[in-house]
Amino acid sequence: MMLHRDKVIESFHQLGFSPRVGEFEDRILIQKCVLLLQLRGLGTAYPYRLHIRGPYCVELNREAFAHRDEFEAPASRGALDEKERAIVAAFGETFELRPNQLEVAATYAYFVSCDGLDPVEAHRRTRKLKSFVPAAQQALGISRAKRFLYPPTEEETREMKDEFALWQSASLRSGRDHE
Amino acid sequence: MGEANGLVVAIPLTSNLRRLAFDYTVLIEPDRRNRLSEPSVAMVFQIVSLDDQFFVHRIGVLSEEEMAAIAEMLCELLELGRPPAKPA
Repeated sequence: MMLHRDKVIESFHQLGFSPRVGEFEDRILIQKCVLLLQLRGLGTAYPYRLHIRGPYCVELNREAFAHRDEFEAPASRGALDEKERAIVAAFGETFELRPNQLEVAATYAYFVSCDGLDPVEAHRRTRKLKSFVPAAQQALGISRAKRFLYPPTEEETREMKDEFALWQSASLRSGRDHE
Repeated sequence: MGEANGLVVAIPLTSNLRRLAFDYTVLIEPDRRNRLSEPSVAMVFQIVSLDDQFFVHRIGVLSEEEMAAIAEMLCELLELGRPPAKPA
């Protein structure tokens, strides 16, 4: 099975990310970046499973060590098409390369996309699994995962606006009354 | 929630858990301190200013962790506490 390491290397090149494979935190970043990019449609095929600290791909870890030079000095190889480059760009705009944030985001995404959990249960399971991450960082990681992978539909947005129209109009009225 | 000049700045909560699909939301589980009757979603991006007459009494309070999560999102949403963007 083709895992498409070339796409991973090219993505890291685009992100300006040169991981030190021997460093634990950088290996976390590699794992979580690839899962999030893959779920958005990068075209890689790394098989992830849930481990103690969240989703993890043994094959990706093996490749990182086997091709350490390529990972540590990622070069452009023309492996990404325009759509895939846009995915990497969106990733770069959404996330910072911080292990805690990406661990939480990838864990939430795994629960939703791979385990098929609804957002409520995915929130609860992520909080439990990542209980060592401060609540504020948990919330931020989950929020960014949602922004990157699960944008609400137009119908959901319309329903949400309808639900809160009363709040917004009350706020406008309150503002006018205090002019 | 904060008060100034007769207005209360508030972040609405909803018990409609489908709203958790949106980013800039925080899941609040009911407990003895917040006295919510069911799980709720804090809609950080729906922050509003309301006349203080809308508020009759305080039901409960959120935990420090929940407040920290909301504060973090509010900072990100309003781009507070970040260095100014570099000129193009």
